[in-house]
Amino acid sequence: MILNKRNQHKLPTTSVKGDFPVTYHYTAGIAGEKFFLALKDKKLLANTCDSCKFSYLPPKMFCEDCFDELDDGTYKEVDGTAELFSYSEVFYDHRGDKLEKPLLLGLFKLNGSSTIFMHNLLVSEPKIGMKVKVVWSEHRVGSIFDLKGFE
Amino acid sequence: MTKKVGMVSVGLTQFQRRAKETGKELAYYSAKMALDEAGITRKDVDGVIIGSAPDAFDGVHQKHEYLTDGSGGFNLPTMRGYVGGGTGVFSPIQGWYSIASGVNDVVLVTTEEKMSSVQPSSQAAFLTIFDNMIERPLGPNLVWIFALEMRRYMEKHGIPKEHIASVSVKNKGNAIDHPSAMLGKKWTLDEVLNSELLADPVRLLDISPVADGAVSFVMMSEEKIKEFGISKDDVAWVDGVGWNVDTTMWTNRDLYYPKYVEKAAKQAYNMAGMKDHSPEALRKWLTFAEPYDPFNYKELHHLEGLQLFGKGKAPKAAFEGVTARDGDFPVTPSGGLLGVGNPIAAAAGMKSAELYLQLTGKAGKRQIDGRDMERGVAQAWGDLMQVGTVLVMKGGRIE
Repeated sequence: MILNKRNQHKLPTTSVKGDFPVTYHYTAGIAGEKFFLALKDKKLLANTCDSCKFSYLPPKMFCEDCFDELDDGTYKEVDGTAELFSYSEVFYDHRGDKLEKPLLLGLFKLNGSSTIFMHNLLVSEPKIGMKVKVVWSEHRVGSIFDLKGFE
Repeated sequence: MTKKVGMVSVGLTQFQRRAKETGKELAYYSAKMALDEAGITRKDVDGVIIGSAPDAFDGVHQKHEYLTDGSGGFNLPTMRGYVGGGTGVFSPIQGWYSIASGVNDVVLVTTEEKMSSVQPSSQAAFLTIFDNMIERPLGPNLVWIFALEMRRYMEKHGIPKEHIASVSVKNKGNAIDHPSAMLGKKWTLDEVLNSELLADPVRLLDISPVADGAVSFVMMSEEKIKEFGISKDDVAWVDGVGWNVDTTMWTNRDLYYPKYVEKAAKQAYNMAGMKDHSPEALRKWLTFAEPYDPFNYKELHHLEGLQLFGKGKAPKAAFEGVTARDGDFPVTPSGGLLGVGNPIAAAAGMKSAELYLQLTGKAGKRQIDGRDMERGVAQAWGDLMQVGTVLVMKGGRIE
């Protein structure tokens, strides 16, 4: 077979360094901006589709199923209590470097929403199904790190 | 035996410099508008097509996945096609073959681009489409390479710049009547000719503006159109489609003539049963054209590739008003990329939408009057200057 003959030896490699010389200005969008600005005030917003009653957290501008536009009246604050849906203790970062301290990552089902939310898990003995609550950062700027995680 | 396919509605967002909406929110606006215009809901849709150009613009990789919810693709057979700037005409072609093949009956097609995210400019992202070691170190951007092509075209035929500049005056003027337009304005020829020199011979007003936007279509099989009770007056039939790719090294061909557009156009005309490809016959057969106009000379270049004018003949015709909206053969009645704006995939999507709007008499103040709207052609161009995509549609009552 050609496959067996051709793939026996590898060529020595010379490479040239390159980069992708772009950065970004992202907008959070119509729904996203409401969500992030509310975080500054320690508020977690969800919104609910009137047609199918599915609740999104973070909120969405439209229901992906019914395709209804979800207007201002569909938003409400949830209380930040949640159930642990899944978790993992992670040891390496996206560069392949070992983390100084392993990190606990969790998936959370917040009360008042139909969706699952990922953030840091701040407990020592995690157990799926355990009740947890949001922990806020002292300094809040309207970012996902306005939440420290859940404990 | 392929199924007959009709476009039954379109939806367009405003084209703008920097949208507050995310890309998926833009896609939702146009997709929802197209569904509402067709009088159907997402539950009636059985296939979704997404068209978007480089991921590097929005700054989201796998943009098709990212755009799926806004494009109505949740839990449906959904796919993205991508041929750079050619995408906005290719996406309705994909909608056509999804239905013509019998795979789907009702397809929602969305083209989207959010170019304002990328910093310092979209040209920094474009830099990475060139060969990493041969061309990229020289720092080319699209204005530079278009300048090389424009000069070659002018030199080959002895074209005066006035003739090319007249396309900017026409298209930016036509865009005044387009509700999505960002740059509709009546410029004078002198203003275009004396605008800032960017890369000789390309000046600022020779170019289309970078934009954010989305455009959607609903396409259906003939059976579904009857089933939904949609009037033939609200339908434009897909008559012919074609696409073609020239050599990957864009420098390895003579830049004065787009052979790949000729091949794509002839494929589409032949499919529609039009075997006479002479300019005179084609201009009679077609009522109007929406060729791709990111730069003013490209409209002329593409009119020649589309066989609507002989080689080197389009510039004089444009200058003399033949291609004005009320001229003998209207070209880019929409206002084009030059006037409405250039959110890459959505820009050519807007051109495809103009076929539908003109053929169904829904183009409002832009409506070409005084003639039967039988047939139109939209064309786009992309990848690294070597792909041509062509769509011919005809009015709903034309058999």
